[in-house]
Amino acid sequence: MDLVKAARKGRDSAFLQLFDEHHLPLFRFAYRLTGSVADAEDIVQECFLTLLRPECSYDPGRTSVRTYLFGVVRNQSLKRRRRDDSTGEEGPDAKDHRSPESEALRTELAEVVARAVMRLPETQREVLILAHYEQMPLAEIARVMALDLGAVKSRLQRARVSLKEALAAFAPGLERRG
Amino acid sequence: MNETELDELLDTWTAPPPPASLRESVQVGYAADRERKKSPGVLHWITAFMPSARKSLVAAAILAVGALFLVVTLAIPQTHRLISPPVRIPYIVDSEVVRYRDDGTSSVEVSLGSYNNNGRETILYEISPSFLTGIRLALNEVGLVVGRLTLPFVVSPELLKKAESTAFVSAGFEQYRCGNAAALLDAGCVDGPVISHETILGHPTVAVQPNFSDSQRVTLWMAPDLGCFALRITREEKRPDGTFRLVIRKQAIKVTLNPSSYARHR
Repeated sequence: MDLVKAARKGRDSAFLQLFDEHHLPLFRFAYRLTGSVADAEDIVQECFLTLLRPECSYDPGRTSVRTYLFGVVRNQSLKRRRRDDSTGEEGPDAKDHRSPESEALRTELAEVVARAVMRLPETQREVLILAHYEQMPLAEIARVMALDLGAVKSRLQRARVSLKEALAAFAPGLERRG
Repeated sequence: MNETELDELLDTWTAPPPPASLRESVQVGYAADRERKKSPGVLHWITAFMPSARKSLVAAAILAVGALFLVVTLAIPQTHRLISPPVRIPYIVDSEVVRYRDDGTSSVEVSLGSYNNNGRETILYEISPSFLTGIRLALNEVGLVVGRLTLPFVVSPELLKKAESTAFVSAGFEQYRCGNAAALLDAGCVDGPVISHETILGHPTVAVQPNFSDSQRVTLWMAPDLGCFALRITREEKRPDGTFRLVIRKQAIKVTLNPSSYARHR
């Protein structure tokens, strides 16, 4: 039986299998979109619970469960970001400076990279994270973001050009380390 | 910078691993969703076995009791529990109380929605998955309302004032008092030895173990940014060999900040 159907029928093992198969990339994606471990944790939790609710729009005939879950994480992250913007709460940049999760960033260089990615326009950032960090095929990114393939390619291209400019000063340092 | 250099730079930003609590939180949320589906609510149980004419009578009786409670609430504002939430609710925490039995089994005893009002937990709804527990819950609530109504007539004004200023947290049938509410808020929710600090559902908490009794250990994970709301509560009983056995665990599964209306949230 399909795992989602089984989980909806109350089979714990099916639910846990779904969770174990998908939660790591979803958590990474949510973390890189929000810059916060706590937000990422909430988003991933909500994402799995959304999938199992009767009103959930997931249709296995149209998309894979992985693509659907990434879409939910993306939407939840957007909502949070808009809510934080409207309530004047600190954005991910500010959180990076002082939150416990920023402690986990291994080096100053990693922090610089994180900030540069965070400063990308939202749509470019999403594509870059999925393509680079999650190694997701462009066609699947297009499905997650409900875009056509051309738009995904151009956003990824623009994101990479912007990052090359923003991080240009750090390239020689990288070479010296190597 | 070439493409490879950019890739190498990007790779320096690694994501931390998910917290160990994530799997447990998701499981708790899944179990709560399932229980809600299974449990059509106490009213359903009460009316399920009745002919439709009697159901109408029961519905009318419930409405009448509701109207009476509303009048009482308006007359005596202290009795707002379960009846009439204040105009502005700052947040709603959906929680689940699980009871662990001697034989190693466990089950959800109560699902509840609540928030803290000046250090005092105010329950907005309580749902029980079992008929008998539901009845017990309803009787418990009636007892609490009656108790509050009669309290002003049986204790001195000083004692009444003290009772009304006492902080308490709820784990379904069990409530724990945490001293003066204002003092608790001033102390950053510290009411006993601090055992840890943990973030639950995005809210930093301080875990304290107030000394309620030598035979049991109660741990409260209270969130200062939610007015010392206890996002997790555990009660453990001491075994003869000195070890502890978990008996009750309340766990928040969702926090909704600034709910635009109570009805829409439900």
